[in-house]
Order: sequence, then C-alpha cells, then structure tokens
Amino acid sequence: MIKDLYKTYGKVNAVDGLSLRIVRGEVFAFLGPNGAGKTTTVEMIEGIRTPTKGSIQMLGMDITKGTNKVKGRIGVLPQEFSSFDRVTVSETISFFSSLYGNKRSAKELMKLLNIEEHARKQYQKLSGGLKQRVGIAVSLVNDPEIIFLDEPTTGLDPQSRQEVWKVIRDLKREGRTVFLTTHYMEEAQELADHVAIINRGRIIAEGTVDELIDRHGTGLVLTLTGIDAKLVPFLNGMGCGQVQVKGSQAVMNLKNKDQILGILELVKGSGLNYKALNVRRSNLEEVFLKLTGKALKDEGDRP
Amino acid sequence: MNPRRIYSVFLVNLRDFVRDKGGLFFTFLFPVILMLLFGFIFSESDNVTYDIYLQDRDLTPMSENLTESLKEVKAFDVHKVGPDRKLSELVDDDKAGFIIVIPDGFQEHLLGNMIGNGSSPVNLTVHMDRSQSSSLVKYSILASVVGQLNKVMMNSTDVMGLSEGDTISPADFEYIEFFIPGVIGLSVMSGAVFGTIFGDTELKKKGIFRKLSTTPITRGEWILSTMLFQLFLAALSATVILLVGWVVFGARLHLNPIAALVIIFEAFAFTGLAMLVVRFVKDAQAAAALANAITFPMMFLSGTFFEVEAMPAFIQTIAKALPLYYVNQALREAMIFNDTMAALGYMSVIAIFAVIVFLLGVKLTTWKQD
Repeated sequence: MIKDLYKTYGKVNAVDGLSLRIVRGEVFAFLGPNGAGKTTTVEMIEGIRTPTKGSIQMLGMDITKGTNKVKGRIGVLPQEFSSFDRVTVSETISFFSSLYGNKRSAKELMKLLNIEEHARKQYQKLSGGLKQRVGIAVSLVNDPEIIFLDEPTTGLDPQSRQEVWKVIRDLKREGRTVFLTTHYMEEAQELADHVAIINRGRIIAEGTVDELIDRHGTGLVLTLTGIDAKLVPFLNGMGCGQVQVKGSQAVMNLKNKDQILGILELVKGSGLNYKALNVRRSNLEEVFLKLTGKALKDEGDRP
Repeated sequence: MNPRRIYSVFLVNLRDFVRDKGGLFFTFLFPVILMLLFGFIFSESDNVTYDIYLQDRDLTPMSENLTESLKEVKAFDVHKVGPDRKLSELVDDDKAGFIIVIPDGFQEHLLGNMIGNGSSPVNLTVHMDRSQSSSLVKYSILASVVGQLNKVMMNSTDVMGLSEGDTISPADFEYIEFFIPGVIGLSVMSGAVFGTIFGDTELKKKGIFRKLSTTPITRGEWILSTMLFQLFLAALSATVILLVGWVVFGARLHLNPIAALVIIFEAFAFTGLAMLVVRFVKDAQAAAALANAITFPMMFLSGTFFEVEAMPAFIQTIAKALPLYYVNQALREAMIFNDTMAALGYMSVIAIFAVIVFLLGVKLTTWKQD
C-alpha cells in the first residue's frame, strides 16, 4: 500500500523511506513516540501533505496523483481536531455530512456514538471525550471504508479512553479498516491486529502484537513487591541478569517459566519476606525500549 | 462548484457568528455607537458660542457702548471683569484664553479721532492663547465687529459688498451625512479584515482546514461561500447604520446603486488583503497585530472622520495611497451628492485593487500542510 515514502524538511528526513502494507478490515496501529513522523506519514496518506518522494496506493488508486476520488471513501479524524465553537453537536455532524451529499444523518451517527443527549450542546461546551466522539462521528459521515484516527485518545481521561476504544472495536466489527495513530502502547496492544513501530521516520518493527513480543520482547517479567533489601543479592545470583530495583520493588526478566519456581524456593530459603509476586509477558513498551534504547513515553516534544 | 456545499458553509458560518456576542457587538453595535458619539459631538456645532473676557479700564459711556455692542454678537459669550483684575489672574484662575482690554482714556481718544484731531486709532488690546484653535475665529469675529463700528461712527458708505449667490455644492450637507458613509466604509473594512484573519487563524488552529481538505469541498467553494457571508454581513451592517442615521439624526442620503457596488468591492478587497496576511503569518496574535496595523492608520488617514482635504499636504499624499480613501470618496460622491460619474471614478480604483488582491489571496491560500 505505501512504498518508499519520503518527506524531507530542509536536510531532515521526517519520513525516511517508509513502506507499509495495511490489510482491509483490520485495525492497524501506527505506534511511535512523539516526533517520530507518525502524523507526517498519516497526513501524506490522507492527502493533507504532499510526499517528497514515494508512492501511496489506497483502495486501488494512486493518491499521490490526486486524492479527489478517494476522498469520498475515507474518513479522517485529524490530530487535535476541534470544530466550530458555537455550532451544536447535531449541526456540526450535519454540516460535514452535507459536504458529502448527506449519506448518513446526524441522528444515526449520534446514536452510533451514544451522544444523542448532547445533540443541542455547543461544541465548545463539551468535555474532551465528547469532543473526540463528535470528531469520530464527523469522520464517519460518508460511510467510509477506511478510517484514519490520529491520536484519538491523547489527553483523555481513562473512562473517555475506554469509550473511544469501544467505538473503534465497533468500527472493526462493521468491517471497516481503521488506521490508528498512537503513542500509547497499551492502546495498540488492546485494539490492533497489526502494529508498525516508527522511530525517526523509519519502521523499526512490524507485525501482529504477538509476533512483535515474541520476536523482540524480553520473555517473562517477574516483579516482586515489598521486598527486604537484603533479598537483592540473592536475586542477582539467579542468572536472570541484573535485577532492576525500584524502591521496594524488584523486576527480573526470566528466560523461561521454570525460573519462577527457582526464585520462589530461593526466597523461601532465605527466610526474607515480600508482599506480592507478579509474572507477566513482556509488552510493547519493552519491545520499543529494546529496539530503540529509549522509553516510548519519554520521547521529546510534538512535531 | 456545488451550490449545496456553498450553502452549508454559509449556514455554519452564520450559526457560529450569531451565537458570538463579541462578534455581533463589533459588527453592528460598535459602528452605531461610533456614529452616535460623533453625530452628537458635531451636530451641536451650529450654536457654538465663544467665551471672551472683557476688561473695561475706561468706564465711560463710550466704553459701555462698545461693551454692549460686543454682547450683542451672538457668537460671543462676554464675561466682564473688573478694571483692577490682573491679566495673569484671569488666565490662571478663570482659564481665560481670550481677553479684550479697553484702555484707560478710550472715550477721550475716540472722540478726538471722530472730530478729526487724532492721528492714530485707539487700540483695543487683545491677549489670546494662540494654542487654542478657536482664538483665531474669535479674533476675526472681533475684527469684523470693530470694522463695522468704524464704519457706523464715520458715517461711511460701503463701496464694496457681498451678496449670497446660488449654492455651488449640489447639496448642503450636515456632518452626520458626511460621517455615515465613512462609518459604513470603516465597518465593512474591519468586518472583512478581522472576520477573515480571526476566522482563518482559528480554523487553522482547530484543524478544521486540515479536516476540510480531506472532504470533497474545494477551496474555491469555501472561499466563495465565506465571501458571500462577508458580503451579507457588510450589507446588514450598512443597512443598520443607514437606518440609525436616518431615525436618530434624520440624515438624508442617496441610495445610489454605485454605493452598493463600492461596498461589494471593498469587502472583496479587504478579504483578499486579510487572506494574504493569514497566508504569511502563522500565529493568531501576530495576525491580530497585523490586522490592527492595517485598519488603524487607515481609519484615521482615509477621511473616515474628517475630510482629507483639511489635512496637511503630506497626509493627503499618504491618504491617496490607501484603499479606504477611495472607498470613502466613492461612497460620499454616491450617497451625499448622488454623483454617479464621480463615484464611478473612485470606485474603479478600489475595483482594480479588489480584483488583484483577491485573486492573489485565493491563489496563495492553501489548506495543505508544508
């Protein structure tokens, strides 16, 4: 779908030879830290920016040669989108719907996104979560086959985030393709069929969430909480590499499940205590950390 | 061009606008307040009286006579002061700016002159504050009163006179009738400049332009529709101003169709200018500053409040380089004098300017990101 895409500002390649393939009917998560080139890439696909070089095929059309025909078949929620302040929810959706020839009514979309009770409220008076849901409703007015959501949950409280996630799952159930841009790894892990991780304008890993964790993950992660500090030297001798100690918490990467028993026996034998033990599979956050040497959340400012 | 999309954009602009109290105030109420203020300040100018201070140091029947004569001058409000008061006191305490002193020995000297004994006229001394523009007016009124008295006392007959002929200007007009076209020109200009600059930077900031660029609406449709909306507002505010002028001040202006054309061209010209500004200025605050920088000097230099002809020569030169000057001139020729040809002349300047600037604005406006 996307081949050898470049976007150059001055001497900097914001997008540096990027290729992607997105399967129809799936949720595709485009994951990366702020400033990695996510929005630049997605805006080139949406036709908002012009690529310096490269080709983009979408729905069987080459969109670098003009996006007019494809516009009716895609829906876009731009990053940090907001709408006309003093226009109501229902009027806002109707306005955008009319641009496409009123394919879907505001009423239907408000019902879909469960915002009917706010129909007559002015946009400026809505909460962040509601604004995002209006934005998603607006991106669905033309009954699109592909929906681009650029950071739809950034800045939302956990409950609003859950609501947006539910909408995205519903979209997939309806058979639509969702291109989701995010810097929250748990969002990708929760929703995506396929994930591509971008860093400094390049794709550094691609695949299903499982594949990525298997390939680049750190295996099992064991956390002991509320430990006695004297326990640490014992744990370091376990052959699980360096134990990371944060306060009264010790985190270890295990090579296999058998090591869990070894650790339990060691702790029991030492006579020292702990409060809780947790074992989980490594996650995308750790995949990213391993691939780039940096934490996903700590990366610099917005583009 | 799709008429339904153009209508939709017009409607969404209208909804956003009518619910914005600040916008409504500046579009409709502000020009009306401006007009009421200036209208009332200047409509009083017919019955103006000037304060003058008169000190009679002679205190004789002749000096009393002169005092009475001055009191009869309608333009003067005469404050008589005692012969012993010091001039400096008058200036400091009474804020006197124009003091006439009848000198001691006035009657004696005058009588001498009348029987042919005197060789020089008896002078009234005038102390005036030259920093007050009214002083010269007072002085010239006083001079003509003195001249008239001279004539009466010497029994001379006029060899030269003045008679009022036919009025040369086609219509006698009041200040308010001069001011109304200026207010219309001003409010259409600021509506177009501020509406476009604030509207566009806000839509840019909100990501609405980015969103629109992914929908089927074209930039041309958007611009046409917002332009129609601006024209609608311009027509509405011009109507409000005319109505208030007529109801409150009884201003009679000609509804010359050229005036409507001038307003249309003006709206296009300043919308185009604002689009150029928005194109090259990224943040909203800089854009607002620039909008002020465009409208503020133009408001004062283009003859909105006062006739450009009354200004210093170099300001007149500057005025003639400003588009609003041509708008004001064209509107006045059309609305005050109903002079279609003269109005068309001024209008052609603003029309050419409008076409160039607007086309440039359309060409350089882009929704795409760099």
